[in-house]
Amino acid sequence: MGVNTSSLQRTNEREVNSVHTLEQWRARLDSSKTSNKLMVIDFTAAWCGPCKFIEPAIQDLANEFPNVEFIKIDVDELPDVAKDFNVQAMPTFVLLKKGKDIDRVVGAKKDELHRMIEKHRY
Amino acid sequence: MRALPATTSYAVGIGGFSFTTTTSPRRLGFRRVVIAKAEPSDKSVEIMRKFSEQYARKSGTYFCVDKSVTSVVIKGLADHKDSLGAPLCPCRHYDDKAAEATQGFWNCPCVPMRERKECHCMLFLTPENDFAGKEQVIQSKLHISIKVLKKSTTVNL
Repeated sequence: MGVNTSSLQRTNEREVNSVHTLEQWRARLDSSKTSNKLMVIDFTAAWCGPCKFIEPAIQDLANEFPNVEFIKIDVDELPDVAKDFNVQAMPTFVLLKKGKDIDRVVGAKKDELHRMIEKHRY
Repeated sequence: MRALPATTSYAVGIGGFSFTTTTSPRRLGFRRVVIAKAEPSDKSVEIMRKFSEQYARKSGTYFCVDKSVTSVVIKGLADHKDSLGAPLCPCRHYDDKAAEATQGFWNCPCVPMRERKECHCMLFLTPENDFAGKEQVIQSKLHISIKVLKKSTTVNL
């Protein structure tokens, strides 16, 4: 029928934005400080298997929680940010509210992350 | 290479190679750092694939049901073997990768794996793990290349 199914599917999905520069990161952090919105930072790496494994689940969570902001940071692109948050293993999900680190999940643990988002989203 | 505060960054991946261009805001037009991220060598991928199969058998562990996890990790190990001389775990963040590779704690098989069969990377999974498959072999080198290339061929401008 000439319809691109994958693009149709994508229109219903929220984008999990990748942050590539320190400038972008600072802008996100500043906006978090002035908002009550929960931010979930997915610290990932190019050759991290579990990070790829949990990617679809993160997309599901982003769709399920439209009021939560999801961003992705490659630790090799922004090592200083990873260091600031004391990220040691990937994936690490840091939950941020008003610019403050309030909780985290280390590893591809979708259910635990889901519980934590439920707990902190308001 | 990463000391520059970046305001613009471009990542382009074509045919297995990706390039990152980072431009310093204060020296715009003067200083440009190009970091080329090549795919790991076939030789290292093959070495790490064979090692993974042997170690899975030896430790009684299995590969993930999602073989793309296995493929990505093997390529990450091979990439570190090429760049650092040792298969440093690609699922951890280090302040100094070269120092970590020399120290050895996180070189595959890492100490937690050797002592407690804990592989954070999901490369070696104990049979009771929900994501453990039934295999201790990886189909072929080609399988790894195709799987990973599909995932990594991206162009972000």
